[in-house]
Amino acid sequence: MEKFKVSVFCEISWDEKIAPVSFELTAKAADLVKDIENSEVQVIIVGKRKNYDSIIDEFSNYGADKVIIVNDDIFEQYSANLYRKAISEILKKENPDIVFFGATIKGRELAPLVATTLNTGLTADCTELEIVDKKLEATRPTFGGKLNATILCKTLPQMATVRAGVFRLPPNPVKKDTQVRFDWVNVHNEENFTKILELIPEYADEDNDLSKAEIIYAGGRGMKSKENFNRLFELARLTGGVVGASRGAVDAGFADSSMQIGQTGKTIHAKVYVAFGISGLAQHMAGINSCDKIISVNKDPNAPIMKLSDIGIVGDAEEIIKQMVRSLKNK
Amino acid sequence: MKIIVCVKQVPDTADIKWTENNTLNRDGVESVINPCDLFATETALRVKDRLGAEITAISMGPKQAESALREVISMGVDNAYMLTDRFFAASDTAATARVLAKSIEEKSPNFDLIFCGQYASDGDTAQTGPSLAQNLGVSLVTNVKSIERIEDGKIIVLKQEEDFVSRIEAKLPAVVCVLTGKYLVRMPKILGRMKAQDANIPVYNAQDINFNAIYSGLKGSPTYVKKAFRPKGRDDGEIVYDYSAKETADLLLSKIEEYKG
Ligand SMILES: Cc1cc2nc3c(=O)[nH]c(=O)nc-3n(C[C@H](O)[C@H](O)[C@H](O)COP(=O)(O)OP(=O)(O)OC[C@H]3O[C@@H](n4cnc5c(N)ncnc54)[C@H](O)[C@@H]3O)c2cc1C
Repeated sequence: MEKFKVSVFCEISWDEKIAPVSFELTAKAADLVKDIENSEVQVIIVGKRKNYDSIIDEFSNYGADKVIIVNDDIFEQYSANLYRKAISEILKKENPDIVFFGATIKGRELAPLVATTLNTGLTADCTELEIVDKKLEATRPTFGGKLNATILCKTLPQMATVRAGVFRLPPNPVKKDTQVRFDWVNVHNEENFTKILELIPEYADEDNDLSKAEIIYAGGRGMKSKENFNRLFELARLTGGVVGASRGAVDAGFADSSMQIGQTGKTIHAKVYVAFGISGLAQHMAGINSCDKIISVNKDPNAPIMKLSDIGIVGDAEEIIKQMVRSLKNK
Repeated sequence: MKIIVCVKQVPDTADIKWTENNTLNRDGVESVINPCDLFATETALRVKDRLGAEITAISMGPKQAESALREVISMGVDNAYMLTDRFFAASDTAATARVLAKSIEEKSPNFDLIFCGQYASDGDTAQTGPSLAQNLGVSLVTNVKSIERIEDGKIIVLKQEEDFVSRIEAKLPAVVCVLTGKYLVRMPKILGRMKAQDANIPVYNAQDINFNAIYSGLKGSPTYVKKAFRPKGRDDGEIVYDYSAKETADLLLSKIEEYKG
């Protein structure tokens, strides 16, 4: 019987760190195949490093059976076409049943290039993955989140991308005895279509880092003013949280675009997310779906966010924020 | 310079509502040009303003999507064609990219640049642009915020990365996938509207572009939808009415304390 293989692309960020979604997908893959006999989870790494030991170790911890490394000086700088070639060649050799990429900016660029090269199908931004009769069933939101669709792929490999944070790392992963193989792909005859000229850091507010915050207060158009955002910052300071915004609030000039949460903003994984005056349209919800608890304050009981919240409170955002600050100060 | 812009007509997703019986109500839902594609069009027009160019817009879809092409012509696009065939219907992104690529090879092969929207607001896969580039065997840059310059057979763009911006140089010809931005998309002028009204927009089917239709549509697409269903909301969420500001504030503060663990 042929081995049932799931490949995961390991993404190395600009700062040489492994993108967390690569571990999340490895752990998810290990979980998906745990009842399939003669299965293998393999991680594909393309890069240029002296040493891969600590990376291999981490992937072992999350259940990788095999790590395949394509190491070459040429991969020091990311180039979509060269990476595409390297990954596609390894996949042609390995013939996996399923391939996962993180739906990062790089992953969303590489996965369709690889899928087209292999003449196979790809399902983007999946929020649920299942294997039924050895077929991948990938569920994703469409129509701005109003509809979920479960998508199957007729060709092999069946490919999918998944956003960071959709699948959490398991608290007690099963460590595997990981086999390591260094491979080589000749990409030196491929055209290097693109060149990175410069990396330009964006202004990042260290005190208001949405990516790691446990409590996030976000305001929308219903906040009505910039002054109310200042009150929200005060509330955040008093309770140890940070402040985000909907695009409605950013477009209205109440908040800076670096604070935007959602499809075209940041994806957050807070323990508690509190929305003030946000309607909860799909593009916004895309960024907060992996928060543990969602509380919303809205004057409209029929606002979409109310149904998507653990607690929906019908009320005026400004008044409630003022009162919260007052209560905290009087303590 | 020859530029192609790929334009998709999408339902205005904000208008789609769920009915009581868990079906999607698309009555009265308007069709609009996909927002990113408007920015892709604007980007192409700005290149034309600066360097001069002939811009061709392409849309694959049902016949009525022609109105989207007339709209971009009214903005300043020079010409356009539709790709319409019942064998194209229900194509996934891979099949759509194949049709687009073949039509470009047949009808407008000498392009320098193809501008696409980064993603469509209905499907949001962001796959068609990259797949098109791969089918044509040309350069690709995605997540593009703006074009800095075009010179010596290269385009230099700013690309939005995860936490920063990169400046990328790509060899022409190239497919460039454009994000929505903070700049304005131009409004059509009266003259443009008149030109759009009279524009001849050819409609090509699979045969016209020498495309073997078995590679498109439901049958030719590698992926298919097994089922579609309503996303479920949060389990046992509750809605609180008629609390005073004081009561609400207390409730909120105690819940935040409880949830953060
Ligand atoms: C391609 C695309 C990408 C997008 N990406 C994003 C994204 O990344 N992030 C994002 O957020 N949006 C995004 N959007 C926009 C999104 O669809 C919504 O338009 C946006 O989220 C709405 O912002 P809002 O909820 O603040 O405003 P609105 O929808 O105008 O809602 C305001 C809410 O405030 C309530 N309200 C009014 N007054 C009060 C008051 N006094 N007290 C309490 N409540 C009050 C109202 O009842 C209403 O529910 C995107 C859209 C598109 C098409």
